[in-house]
This record gives sequence, structure tokens and C-alpha cells, in this order.
Amino acid sequence: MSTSKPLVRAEKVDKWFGRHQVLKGVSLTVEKGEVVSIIGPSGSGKSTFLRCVNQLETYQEGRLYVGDQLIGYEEQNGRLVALNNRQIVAQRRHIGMVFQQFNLFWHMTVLENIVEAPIMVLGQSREQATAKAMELLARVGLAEKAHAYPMKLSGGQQQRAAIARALAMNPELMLFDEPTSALDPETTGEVLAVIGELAKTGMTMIIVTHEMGFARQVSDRIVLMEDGMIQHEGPPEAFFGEGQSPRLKAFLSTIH
Amino acid sequence: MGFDWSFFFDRLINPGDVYLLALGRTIAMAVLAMALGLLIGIVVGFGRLSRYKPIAWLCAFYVWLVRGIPVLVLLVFFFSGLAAAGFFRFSDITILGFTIGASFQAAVIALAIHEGAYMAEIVRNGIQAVARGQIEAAKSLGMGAWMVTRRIVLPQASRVIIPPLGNDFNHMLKTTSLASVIGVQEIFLLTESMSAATFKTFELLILVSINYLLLTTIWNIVQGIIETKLRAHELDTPVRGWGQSISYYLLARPGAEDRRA
Repeated sequence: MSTSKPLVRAEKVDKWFGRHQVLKGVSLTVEKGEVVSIIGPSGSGKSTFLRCVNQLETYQEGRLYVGDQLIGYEEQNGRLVALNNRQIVAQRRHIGMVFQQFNLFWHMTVLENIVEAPIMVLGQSREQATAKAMELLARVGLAEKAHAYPMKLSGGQQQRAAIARALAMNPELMLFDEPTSALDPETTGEVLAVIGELAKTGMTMIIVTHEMGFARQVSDRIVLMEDGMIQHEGPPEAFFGEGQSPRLKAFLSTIH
Repeated sequence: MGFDWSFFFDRLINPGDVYLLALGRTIAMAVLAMALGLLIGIVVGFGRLSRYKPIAWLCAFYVWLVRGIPVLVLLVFFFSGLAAAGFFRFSDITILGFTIGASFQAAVIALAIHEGAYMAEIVRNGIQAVARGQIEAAKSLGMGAWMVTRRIVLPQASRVIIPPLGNDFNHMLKTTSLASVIGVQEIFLLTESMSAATFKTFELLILVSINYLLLTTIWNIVQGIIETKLRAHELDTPVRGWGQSISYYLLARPGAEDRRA
């Protein structure tokens, strides 16, 4: 863990859906190069928190920084003023996201999916974007599927392609929102292997997952969320070893 | 009594310049009204989904209003009604030595406004069929709203929009015959005046029916090719480009066509 400025810094983030408060003062820091897994029961707010980081949801109170940017707002005399759409789009550019349902663009081939944003958003040439895409596809083991349409791929292949698509934007932070929850056990392994490899490259990652074994193996730190709050936080050894809090024990026992 | 076969075949094989010009008017009217209607449909379809309530209401009002008025009434309203009230009178326009008649303009406008209301519903349905996850994925890649619309929403919605759009254009090809009431010299009006002159009413109506049938048949084929192209992602052997779409549609249709992965 480096001692420089953290890449992600959440300070008492609150979010309501209508009257229902889904995030209750979530504070979390993620250092550059760190891999943090967020676990917790359904409805605990872990996905919502992740979606706030790249502004697929908005938070209402607190501060959420990625790098030196305050996400979604501008602070004026201590008050939060929402950014305009253009500023929001710019903030998202360096944050990659992988979804539970893969969300590959089904009307494009795998290769077209990957080069789309580098060409349209970053202004790369088609040659440059294609070369990078093929390199990424080789990395996730899908080079021979470059010209296939997503519908013709298995779930695991789609998710690996989606990871390659996110990486093509050279993100400084990768968010994984239950990346294997829609997969069968056989293909889960291949996706986890790709994410594990990525973790070794020093990519900063926040992973929302139900895969305890994987979280334990790949993470520098694990965060347990429950009822919109962070209940427990620590390195995997402390998490799964002796001396767990009763609450953590209770949660872990429900999923094993 | 009796069917004049020689008259029938003569007119079938050699319809004459006047008739071909009328056929051209029918086609031009249908294509222009459809194109304009599609444009209106896209604007109003998106408008109905607007966050700004007054815009959504205005668009809903347009759809409600136009879908409740017979297209024949719309045609007469635009050509005669507006002029009678002194609001607007269509007049002939000459562009590059080519004269576009007043009634033709009124017909295109009225048909487009009629079509626009139906297209708006088709477009709205198509936009709503685009999964939220697709839009979120595009946003997470740093794409702005307009880019998401252009690169993701419209291409995906078009897969849903094209089949009913083709159906509407099939209707439109025939609905143009109503423009005869405001005096557009299209094939139906010409057929009527020819039958008044020759009394070969039966033969001429069959001929004009064959003509409409020919137009809709050609359109069926064109639509099939377009749909094949748009379904590239779900065909067993993906087609690339228009050439492959044409040959796939014409040659490889049986069985393979409707297989979904």
C-alpha cells in the first residue's frame, strides 16, 4: 500500500432513494494499486455505492473523491452544486466499470464493442484502437472471438470481453459490480482468473462480489457493508481468520 | 359485358408516359411523406419521453389528435381548409425547371403529419426497448448523451422500429390514392379519369391494383434485405455489408432466417 494520496476517498456519503436511505455515511479510502472487495447481503448498498463512484447514481450528502476530483459536484462555500452533463461525462472517462449483466453492445461485434469508446471518446485512430483491442482480447483469451457478436458467446466470454472493453479506455480505476453473479460455476472461474491477473498488474479495483474465496485471494482489503453502512473493514486474513466480530461471523455463516 | 383482354394487355405492357409520370408521383409522394413522417416520428417519439413535461404533453397531444382524424379529412383540411380560412394556400413551386404542384405539396404534408403520429409511437416503443444496461455501459465508457443516442440507442432501437416502419410504408404506398380527392395526378386519379373516358373501368381498376401490388412486392423485398442487415448479430453466419445481406435474403432464407441464438 502506498502512502501517497488515496485514489478514492469517500467521506460520509449519504444516498436516499425517495425516503429510503440506502447509504448511511459511507467512508472508505482506496489507495492507488489497491484491490478492495465489498461484500454484504443483497440490498446492503454495496452496488449503489459502486454506482455512485461513476455517477450512474448520485449521492446527496458527503464527499466522494476520485483522484483530486470531487465526483458529481462542485463545492461552493461548503455547499454541493451539481456538475453539468459535460463535466460528469469527463469524470467518468477514467473509471472503468464491469457489470453483472455484461452489457456488451449486442449490435456490435466484440472488436467493435472494444474500439467504440477509444475511437469516439478518446479520438484514437481505428488502427491504433484495433491494435490495442486485439492485445486486450489476447490477454483475456478471446482473440479468436474478435468478430463474433456477443449473442454467440457464453456468459464468461461476454464478461471477459466486457473487461477488455473497459480496459481499452486506460482507466485508472476499475469497478466490478458482481461480475460473476450471472454466470454458471464453470465460467465463473475463467472470469475470476482474468480479474485476478488484472489485480497483479497494479490496477486499482473495487469489486462488489459474493465470491468469498475469490475476495479473500485477490483483495488487499475487504469491506463488509450492511444496511447502507460499512460494518467491518480489514485485510483478508483478519477478515476470515480468528477473532471475527459476531456480526461478521453471522454474515459469513449465511453465505457458506 | 366481357373483359377486353387486348386493352388490358396493351395497357399492362405499354402504360404510356402519362401513366408512368403518375406512377412516379405515387412513389414520390409515398417516399417523401414517409421520410418526413419518420423525421416527425423521431422528434415526437423522443419528445414523448422527455423529462420536460410540457414537451412530453405536447407530443402526446399531437399523437392523440392526429391519430383521431381520418387521413382523408387531413388531406382536404390542408389543401382546402387552410386556404378557405385564409391561413395558408399551397401554390405550385418550380425548382430546376421541375414544377411541384400545390396539391402534391399539401398531400405530402398531410400524409407526413398523419404518418408522424404513428411513427412517434413506433419510435417511442423502439427507444423504450433499449435495455438500461446498454445505456449505462455506454455512459461508463465516457460517452455523452448525444453519442449514446447516436451510437447505441438509435441503432438498437432501429431493430425494433424497422419492421413496423416497413409495414407503415406498405400502407403509405396505397394511402397515397386518397390524394386523388385533392387532385394529385397519381395513378388512382388517372385511372378514374381514363375509365370515365374509355368505360374500361373493370380492366383499369385491375391494372391499377396490379400496380399497387407491384410496388408493395418490391418494397417487401427491400424491407427483407434491410431487416437481414439489421439482424446480422443473430444470424448463424453474420452478414457484413449490403451485398451479403441481399444474397443472404434472396438465397439463404429457408430455415436459417428466423433462428435466434
